[in-house]
Amino acid sequence: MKKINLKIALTGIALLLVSSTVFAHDRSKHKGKQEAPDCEAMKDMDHMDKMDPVMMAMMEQCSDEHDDDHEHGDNDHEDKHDDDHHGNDEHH
Amino acid sequence: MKCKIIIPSTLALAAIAGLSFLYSGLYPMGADVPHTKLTYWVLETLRERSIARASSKLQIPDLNSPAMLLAGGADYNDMCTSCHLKPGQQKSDMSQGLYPQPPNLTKDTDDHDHSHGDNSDIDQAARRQFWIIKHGIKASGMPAWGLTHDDERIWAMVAFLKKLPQLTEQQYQIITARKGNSGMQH
Ligand code: HEC
Repeated sequence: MKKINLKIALTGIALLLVSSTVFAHDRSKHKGKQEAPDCEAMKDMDHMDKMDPVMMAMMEQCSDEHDDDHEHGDNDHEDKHDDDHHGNDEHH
Repeated sequence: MKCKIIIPSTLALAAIAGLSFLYSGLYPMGADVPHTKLTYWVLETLRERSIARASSKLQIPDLNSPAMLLAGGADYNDMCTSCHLKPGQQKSDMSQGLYPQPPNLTKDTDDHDHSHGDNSDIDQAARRQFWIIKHGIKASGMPAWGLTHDDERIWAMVAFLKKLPQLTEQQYQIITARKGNSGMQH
C-alpha cells in the first residue's frame, strides 16, 4: 500500500523532471549544429587500425572535410539527405 | 478460527498506517535527499525486471558500422551530454541535481551491464539501452526519445554508446562534430 502510493508520488517528481528536459532538447537544436571536426588531432593518435569502426568513422569525418574545401559535390550531398524521409529535424 | 480475526485486522492496521504515513507529509520528497535502502532496492528491482522482460525479444541490427557511429555520435552530443556527460567533462547541473542520478555514460559501468565477455550479455545490454532510450524511465529524468526519433536513430546511439567509454576527447570531438548536414548519414 505504502509503496504503491510512493510510486505515484515519485511519478509526480518524474513529470516535473521530464518537463525540464523538454527545455534541454529544444536548446540542443540551436547549439552545436555546425562544428568542424578537429582533424589535426588525428595525426597525434597512435594506433591506426584501419578496420576499427571508430577509426573508420573518424576518417570518414575527415575525408569529407577535404570535399568541403573544394566546394564541389557538397550540395549534391545535402540534396540527397533532404530526400530521405528520416525524421532528421536538424536540417534547416 | 483465530486467523479469521488476526489476518484482516493486521491488514486493516497496515492500511491505516500506510495512509497515515502518506497524509502525514513525512516522506522527504526532495531530489536532494536519497531514498532509503529499501525504497531504492524496490525501485531498482522493479525497473530492471521490467526492462529485461520488455526488451528481451528485440532484434539488434549491425552496430559496428562507422555510419552508425557518426549518426549516433552527433545525436548523443546534441541531446544527451547535459545529463550523461562527455569525455573530459566531470559534471553538469543535471548530472548532479537529478535523482536518480543520470549515470556517466563515458565510464564503463560495472554494476549495470552484467557482461563477462559473454555475447548474450553484451547483446542484452544493447537491448536494454535501446529500450531505455526509446521508452525512457518513469520516475526519473530519463525521457522517452522514441516519441520523436525513429528506431534507426536510437540504435545508432546504442552503437555509439558501446564505443563511448573508450573514446578520447579528440576522438569524441571528431566523431560527434555535425559539420554541415553530413553528420546524419547512414
Ligand atoms: C534530463 C536528463 C537526461 C537526458 C537529457 C538524457 N538522460 Fe538518459 N538517463 C537520465 C537518468 C536520470 C537516468 C537514470 C534513470 C534511473 O536510474 O532510473 C538515465 C538513464 C539512461 C540510460 C541507462 C543507463 C544505465 O546503464 O543504467 C541510458 C542508456 C540513457 N539514459 C541514455 C540516454 C541517451 C542516449 C540520451 C540522449 C538521447 C539520454 N539518455 C538523455 C537522464 C537523462
